[in-house]
Amino acid sequence: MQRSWEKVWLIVRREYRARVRQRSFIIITTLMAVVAVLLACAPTIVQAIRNGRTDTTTIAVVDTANPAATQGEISRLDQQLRADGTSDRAIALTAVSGPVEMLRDQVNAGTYHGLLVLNHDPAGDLTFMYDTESGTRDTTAARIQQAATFLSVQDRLTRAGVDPSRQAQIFAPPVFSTNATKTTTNADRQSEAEKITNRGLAYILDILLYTTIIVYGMWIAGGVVEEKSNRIMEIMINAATPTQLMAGKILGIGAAALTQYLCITIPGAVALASQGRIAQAFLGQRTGAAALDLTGLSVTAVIAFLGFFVLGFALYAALYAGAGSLVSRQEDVQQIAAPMQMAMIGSFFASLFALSNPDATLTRVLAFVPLCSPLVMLTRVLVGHPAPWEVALSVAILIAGVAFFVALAARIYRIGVLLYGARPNLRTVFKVNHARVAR
Amino acid sequence: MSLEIEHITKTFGEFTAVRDVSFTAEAGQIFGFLGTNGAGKTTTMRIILDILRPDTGSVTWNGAPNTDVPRRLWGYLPEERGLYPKMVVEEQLLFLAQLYGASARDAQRDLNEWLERFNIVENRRKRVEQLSKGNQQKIQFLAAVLHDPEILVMDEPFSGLDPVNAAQMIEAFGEMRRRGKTIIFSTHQMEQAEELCQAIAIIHRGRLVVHGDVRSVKRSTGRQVVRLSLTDDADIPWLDRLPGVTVTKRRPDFVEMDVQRGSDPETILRAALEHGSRITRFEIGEPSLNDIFLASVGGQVATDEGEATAPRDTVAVP
Repeated sequence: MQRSWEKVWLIVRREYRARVRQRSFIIITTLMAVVAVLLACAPTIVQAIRNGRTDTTTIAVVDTANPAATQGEISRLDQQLRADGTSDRAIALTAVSGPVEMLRDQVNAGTYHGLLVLNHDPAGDLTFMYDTESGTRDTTAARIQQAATFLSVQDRLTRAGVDPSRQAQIFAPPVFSTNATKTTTNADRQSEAEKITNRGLAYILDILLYTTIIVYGMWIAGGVVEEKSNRIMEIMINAATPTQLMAGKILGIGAAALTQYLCITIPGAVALASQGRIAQAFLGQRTGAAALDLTGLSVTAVIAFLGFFVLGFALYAALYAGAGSLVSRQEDVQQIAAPMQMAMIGSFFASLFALSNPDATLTRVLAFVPLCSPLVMLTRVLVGHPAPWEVALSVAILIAGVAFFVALAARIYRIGVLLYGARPNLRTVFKVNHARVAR
Repeated sequence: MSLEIEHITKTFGEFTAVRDVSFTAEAGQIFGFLGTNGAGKTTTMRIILDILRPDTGSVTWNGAPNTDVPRRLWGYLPEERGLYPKMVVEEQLLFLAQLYGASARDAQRDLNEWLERFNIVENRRKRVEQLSKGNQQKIQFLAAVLHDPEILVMDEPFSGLDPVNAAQMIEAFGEMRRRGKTIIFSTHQMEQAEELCQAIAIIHRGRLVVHGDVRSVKRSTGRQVVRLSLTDDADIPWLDRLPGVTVTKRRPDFVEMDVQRGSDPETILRAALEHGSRITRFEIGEPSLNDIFLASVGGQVATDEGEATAPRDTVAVP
């Protein structure tokens, strides 16, 4: 005699294969994986693009009042430009001579990116005139202005009789220190850092769970309508029970969803984690952008995420399945799925509240309500201090909810056989629910 | 060994779909379930299969209630045809057979046999949506028999089949009967019922009006039917003047008449010879299932002969 789980397994296998072998599944999964890897590599790619633009900006410099002094002024400007801490674009200054008009033509012709003309006003102060093709004030102009200001101050000091060797002393940075008024231990600092990491982590995991349920819940709802729109339903319920069918659907489609999910996130995560090495290999340097800091991901966090991920997904899958079994056509699925989406959006806001008030009474209550408990309890585990019994109770309620909604979905599905075509409203469902329906 | 349906009644809200229906299909029989659209055939079949539960009454197979009969023993061809359109034929049929509880090996062996019998071996690796309608129907039939069920319940198996495919389906019925399977099928195509059934039940507006084996049903009408056709005269008007003879049908190929019990049909033969006609057909027989059907459902089905006046009496067969 065939056991019940063997039928469930057959259905799971069929559902999984039917989805994973679809051309659209393969194409979308591949595309999404590529996008995920590209996103993870974005900082490195941006860096590479910047590095590719290594052409230095060449600025022609001429001192019309004293051409002989140009070289010396250039070396002082250079010194300043190198010291300003901006490294993304090199500026090369080169001494030129000749009439300003002719030099401007050369800028127009593209020989130089810009022209810096030095002069002295009647008071003897240095004046600067900076010409570029478009005359826009970009970062290069700002940097040159800053260097020019410095040069002008040095010039004034020299003319006031301050020896250049003493000038270095004048411009030396003062001692400046930052102190905390409250004494803290190392452990305090660590837990504070952990708290911030955990909040970020909880936020990211909440979003992950939210998106997963919203996206793959629709798969489940659509999958349940399939037998009705294919009209194979009567054969299926003759061969197996609706509960076996529902369980098989949810597990099979869930497994296909998980496959797609992992095919997208694993390459992305690997790419993200190995950004340093990738950058080293391709650019010969580490990027400034830090790779995802996974040190905050404690064992508890991983277990809590996996646990609430599976349970939350199962609960919503059962709900989506029940909704799917209310309709007979694929076109109606979107409409019937709206309540679940609202519930999911609601629980996401609840989890945002929990993020800032992890141990408030409202949060503690919401962590038991099945529809929002996956997100809220997950948040509490990560950033709050839930008692072990609270976590256990929340999980128990979730498991009971999953069993209840799977049974309800199966029941509605079975009734759907009698209500072919017509879309049953809740009243008919409860009415027929009292009628005698087999198995 | 038999499938017993006893006093089943099923109501949907105000509507009584089936009222106190009882009949027996002997094991190994082909049993025809006849009725107009909406008569309650599909509901009865779903109750037999335990897809629906009756309000009252019971269904037993060899004495065991149908709820205890393993799913594997039932094969079902629903009226709403349907398969997974994107699934490959072979994979789909093996999946369904295994879901019913057959072993993959047995199902595979049977599948090869059936594909050859139906001449559709080349469709094995095609997706169902790529097949012609006739071939899809054959696959649908295989979906009902591949797990080697004992009782086959088929709702309108001949609807939508062209003559060639219908002939193949009739052959497949024969094969199932040779294997000793019990087949219950509904139809309103009487030729097929006439050709295949050992026993029938006629259901009308949820009530059973006739049931029993075909020969006794026919005999029980008490009618003696003669069919006559002559080369030179299609209408044979003089038949109307013969005593004890009532013409019931004038078709292009023959004229059919009821002959009163006690009068000798050979008087008709003699009369024809006296008229000097060449006789191409003279047949003494029983009324066709079609006539019995029309008589028992009150002739509310449109016919070319306008037999709406036929008696509505229930024909009881012991």
